[in-house]
Amino acid sequence: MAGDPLQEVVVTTKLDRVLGWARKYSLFQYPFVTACCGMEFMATSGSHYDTDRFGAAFPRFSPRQADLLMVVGTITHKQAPILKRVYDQMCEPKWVVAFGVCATSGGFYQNYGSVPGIDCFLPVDMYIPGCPPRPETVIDALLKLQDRIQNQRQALL
Amino acid sequence: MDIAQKLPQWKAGREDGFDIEPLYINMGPSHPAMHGTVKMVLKLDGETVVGSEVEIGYLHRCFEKTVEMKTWNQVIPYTDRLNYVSPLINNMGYCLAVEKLLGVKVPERTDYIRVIMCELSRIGDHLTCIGAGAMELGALTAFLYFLKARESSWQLIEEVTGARLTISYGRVGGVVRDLPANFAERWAWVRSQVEQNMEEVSVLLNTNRIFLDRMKGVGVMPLDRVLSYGMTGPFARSSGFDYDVRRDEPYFAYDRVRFDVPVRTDGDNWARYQVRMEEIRQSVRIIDQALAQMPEGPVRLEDPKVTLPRKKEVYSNIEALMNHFKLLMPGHGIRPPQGEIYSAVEGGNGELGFWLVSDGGDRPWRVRVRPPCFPIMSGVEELILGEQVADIVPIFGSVNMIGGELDR
Amino acid sequence: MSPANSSPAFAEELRAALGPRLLRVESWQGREAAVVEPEAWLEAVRLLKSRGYDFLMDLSAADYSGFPGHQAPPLGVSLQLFGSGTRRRAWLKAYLPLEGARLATLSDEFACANWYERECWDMFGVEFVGHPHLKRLLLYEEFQGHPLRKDYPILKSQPLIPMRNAVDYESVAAARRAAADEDGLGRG
Ligand code: SF4
Repeated sequence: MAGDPLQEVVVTTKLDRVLGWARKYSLFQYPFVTACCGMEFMATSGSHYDTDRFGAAFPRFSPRQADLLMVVGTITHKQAPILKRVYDQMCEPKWVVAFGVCATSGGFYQNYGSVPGIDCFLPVDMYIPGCPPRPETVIDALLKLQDRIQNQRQALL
Repeated sequence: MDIAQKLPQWKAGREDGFDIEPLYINMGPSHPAMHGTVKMVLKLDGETVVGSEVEIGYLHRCFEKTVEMKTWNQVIPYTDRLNYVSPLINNMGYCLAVEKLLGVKVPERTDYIRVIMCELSRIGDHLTCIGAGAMELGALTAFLYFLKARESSWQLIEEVTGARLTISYGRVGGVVRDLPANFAERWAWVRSQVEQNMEEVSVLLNTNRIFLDRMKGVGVMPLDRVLSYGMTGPFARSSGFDYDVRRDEPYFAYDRVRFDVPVRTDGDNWARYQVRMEEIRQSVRIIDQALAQMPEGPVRLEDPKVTLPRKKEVYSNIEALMNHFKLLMPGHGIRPPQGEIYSAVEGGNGELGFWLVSDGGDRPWRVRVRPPCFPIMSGVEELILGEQVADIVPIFGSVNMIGGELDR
Repeated sequence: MSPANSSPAFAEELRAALGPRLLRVESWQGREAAVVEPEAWLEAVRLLKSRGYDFLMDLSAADYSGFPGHQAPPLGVSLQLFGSGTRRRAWLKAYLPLEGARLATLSDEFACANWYERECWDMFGVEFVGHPHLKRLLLYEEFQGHPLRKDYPILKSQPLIPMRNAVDYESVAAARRAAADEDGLGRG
């Protein structure tokens, strides 16, 4: 409609899209760092690679304030109940990223102590391969996750 | 200092009938200041720690059991993940132990390469430890600077080994490949990065009131307790225990380079910070000398029982091909004679010992690692006794606990 | 460990003090390991400590069941002592049976023995008599068995919370054995 004064000031979109847009750029992550992958995780969030650029790197060390659970490193059977509890404490909507092959499948630790992948007891949204994943892989995964959040059906609680 | 002196007088009850009970809190297992996962149950009187129990084992990945199923060379990737802040030292330490068991000696150039790579790793280890410790006290800048310096050293490590962190560069009988041709040039760049960042961070921290107050006189470990706890490395050296495996039982080429072992006697956080900073400077010095002295020559032992033949030979020559198969087939491979060895190197945190038992087969019968931060962690309960809750964080940071080697 | 730094004298001193309770001296790559009777463990350590070996470097064990040519009881506990002043090392060993493995605690002599012994109990089931707080260190209280013994299957995990798609280790182990038989390589 030409000449419509509203067109200058109003953007029309869908509720889902606008919620997705807001959510994907305000990911508050809870880094559950246990092992070697943590070193690479530090490097990734450091100034050289800087995941802050993507609006996805603000760490909150309280699960109640976080909506992205980063499981970084090997999860052992001794640790599994703790991780489960952290996950349960997080509010919806929440996403889980398995960082590194240990969190994904246990990696080369197939033994009595390690859990063969956190998907044995948690729903996982994104798996990042690598032992440890290179920072570029991590950034790629974060972007893919943001894409996914943008396009998913947004639950209104 | 006597422990009883360190403790405040415990008030059992007050005259006005108002009973005070100790407060128990859990610090960890998932806590931002616990590098990795450790649980501390603290018994508090107000803000003062009057008792604690440390629980570890959250990263018990069964290293020692797993490697009993692997061949001698297959153990190497697992050693990377013991102390994942200085993986090269673990690699080389393990290879050295197996070589001693086999009774072979690597070519001279390899010794120098190992020295260089170990010291590069040590630099990264100390940078991470100091940086993370400073960050926990609010000095995020120091952390970012040191991460930048570490990033440069990692880039160099990647150029040599092909990986940033989990490098698997050592082999029984040598190293995987020679240093790249432009290594000296690249090292000069890394060196300038490290020195510049060290300079900047020293300026930021050394005269910083907050940092000094949080570090000086906090977390004191007297020498006699250090000895009783069997602590080694930078932690023990800052309490006056002048012991460094590199100098006292030289391995690789450490007897051919000159370096000082920094020692302090205060035994507090500040001394540990100073010792680590000084060790970085010494490591730089060692690498410079090693690069200058390094002879030309092979980087691997030419022994058909220990190292793989060159690929070119394998493809063109039947003996080499058979040799290659012999070393890789299950049930063959490297077979050290029946025997045992305890061999130690200086890791990032202290003496890193490997006790290997061989039954003469192609797999280790037992690989025991003496993790350097294990005895230090066992002393943490005593270290934090009588300190404030907030001081646990810098004390714990200066212990430099590495989950991978602590829990294995 | 260069042989120069290992001290041959420590075994002689032990022999003089313990007599036949020093069972034998093993020699590995120029280093000697003195094997003592389990009952003489504490006495031997005290003696060495008074002779300058005042630093506990490492305490661990190994399960020698099935080790070719091994005669003594299967569970070998190994102790690395170090002289903080003399820079010399001593190596002490004791062999215990798997059932009812017991040894005197060193936690009164060395502060760090507390944790080393807890780990040894956890992994091998060696009971340290007189230990103030002998409980599992690396694993959890619910865990059954001692995993570093040779008879503990490596895949036998004991989860604390329910796991989805958990595989039972016995079928995996059987499948692996079958595969190994097929290539005729006899993987261990
Ligand atoms: S994936 Fe590799 S680097 Fe990451 S925690 Fe596991 S073993 Fe360590």
